[in-house]
Amino acid sequence: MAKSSENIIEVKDLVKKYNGFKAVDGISFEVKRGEIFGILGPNGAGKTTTLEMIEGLRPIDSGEVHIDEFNVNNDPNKVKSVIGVQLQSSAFFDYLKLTELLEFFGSLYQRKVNPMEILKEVELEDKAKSQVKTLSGGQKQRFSIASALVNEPKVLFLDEPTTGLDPQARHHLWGLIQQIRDNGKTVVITTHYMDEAEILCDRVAIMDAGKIIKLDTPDNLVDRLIKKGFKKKKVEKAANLEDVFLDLTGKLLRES
Amino acid sequence: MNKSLSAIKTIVLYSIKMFFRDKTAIFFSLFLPLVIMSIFGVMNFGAASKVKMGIVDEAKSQATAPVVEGLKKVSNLEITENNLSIEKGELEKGNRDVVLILPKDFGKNIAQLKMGQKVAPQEIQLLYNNNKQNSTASIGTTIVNQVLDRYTHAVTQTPDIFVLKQEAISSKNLTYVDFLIPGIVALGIMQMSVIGVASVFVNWRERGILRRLLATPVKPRIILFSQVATRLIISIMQTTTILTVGVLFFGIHIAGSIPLILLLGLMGGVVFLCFGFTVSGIGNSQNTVMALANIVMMPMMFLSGVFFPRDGLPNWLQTITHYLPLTYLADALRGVIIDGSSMLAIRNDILGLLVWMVITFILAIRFFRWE
Repeated sequence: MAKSSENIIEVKDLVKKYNGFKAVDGISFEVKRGEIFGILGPNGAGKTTTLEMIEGLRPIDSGEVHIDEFNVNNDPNKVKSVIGVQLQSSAFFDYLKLTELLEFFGSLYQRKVNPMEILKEVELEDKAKSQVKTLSGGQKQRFSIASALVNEPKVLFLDEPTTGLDPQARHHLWGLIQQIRDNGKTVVITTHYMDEAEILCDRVAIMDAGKIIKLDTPDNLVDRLIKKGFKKKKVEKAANLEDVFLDLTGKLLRES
Repeated sequence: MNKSLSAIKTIVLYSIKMFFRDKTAIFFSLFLPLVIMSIFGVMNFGAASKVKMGIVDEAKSQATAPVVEGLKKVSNLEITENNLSIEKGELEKGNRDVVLILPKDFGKNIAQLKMGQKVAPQEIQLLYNNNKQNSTASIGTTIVNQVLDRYTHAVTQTPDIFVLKQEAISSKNLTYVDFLIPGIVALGIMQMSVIGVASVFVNWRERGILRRLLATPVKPRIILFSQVATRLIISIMQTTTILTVGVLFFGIHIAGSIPLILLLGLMGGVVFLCFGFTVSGIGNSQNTVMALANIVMMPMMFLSGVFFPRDGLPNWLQTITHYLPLTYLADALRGVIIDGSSMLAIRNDILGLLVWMVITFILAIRFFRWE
């Protein structure tokens, strides 16, 4: 049982070893209800492995994970029924329409779903009769999120959701993720992009070599660095190149 | 349990939907067997084809009528009647194997013979096509000889000294298509099962679809079971289609029990599905898995008596190929479909399939993997 109702996820001393190498090396943290929690770190830091253990997709070597009232070690299927998962590289079946795919996923949760309602939530209702292979990158990611919403999960896990998207699609997806959080869901997200973490995340854990080396709000982390006397070599201007890009090309989504 | 059942039902339903929208899958599993069947069926390979006989009846008399009628009753003959120049022309073009010419004075010595006089036999001309390497012309000659013999006996009222008592092994007039279609059914079941399951699982694994499914609370064995059920259902549809086309367009006659045919189909399906699961686990990519699947299937395709009887193989190869799963399946299906064999009659084939089910099931458990 999660000890405090404030926390929806509690991770304690989580370890994953591969041939003696500790991919995840005894990490502990909590995720609060209704927040967007970011896990940051360079490639190979153990972000995805951590996520997959929490999601019940990878056996836990030692440590404990509680989500809501369930223990992942004992009740992986109960945990899976209250979470939604968007994997780093999740493809979907060919030859099924988006609505059919959502119904299919619903059946895996023993649920009758209203596909159009879910598609509306991710702004894909006009693609209802299309197949996934005809979608653009941003649309695919949005559909991936839609498929993770069929069971009305309490927690949504997003593994590098904006990798490979153009700036317009990234900004659009950020809006969608914030909206999901505003609807009362908790979001756990991994990313390589610091601007993304800064805009989206209420708190972030920074991982390196299988350990969490810092956990705080983005604001606090930045303030603490500045307090240490850190100075940027190049002083930031009031706008950056991305602002220029979006100013020139507009925020309109580029998808057919 | 009830909940699992409804999940299985949905997964199977959508999987079948996917199958029918996948044009490549449809091509290989439904269209291709029909094409193979049509090509080989129309060519009518290996069958004792009918002897094309032209008759030139110059007499058209009471004497020739029994001969012509007698020949027309022989089912191995395809008879045409024309005048000499037409029939000769057809023979030269290769459209006739033999042409029998019954002269105007056919049976001129019958009257004398009836009076007990000795007569010299009358010469009857039989033209034949000597370009043909096959034995159809000589079969035609033999038949004509026999009919004329009987005629002579009938006229002279001498009894036959010998009578050949023919015991029919099969009462039906079998053609190559009868041999082929059960083989095609067996081949279809093998290809559908091995390729279907191997390519689906390796594709799902490579693209992360399996992982995505496992992120839901559905139990892995339900996914597996649904795929097995889907493939078996499609196999039954395929078998039914091939047999229906066989009955409607190639005039085959299903002698045995249809439930037994379907049972054999399911047994073969299970064996080859397990093969599919095994190769999908051994190979890492779509390409290696497809190569492995073909290594398993190719030899069986040609050595299990699908297209041609195994009698033509060297003895040692006959012995080995006897134990192939596709041989058991094809032989059993052929027995039931063509000869109307009972379950008891094909018990050895069924036993062979059961043994293969155990072997391939163990292999599948050993090699199949989710990641």
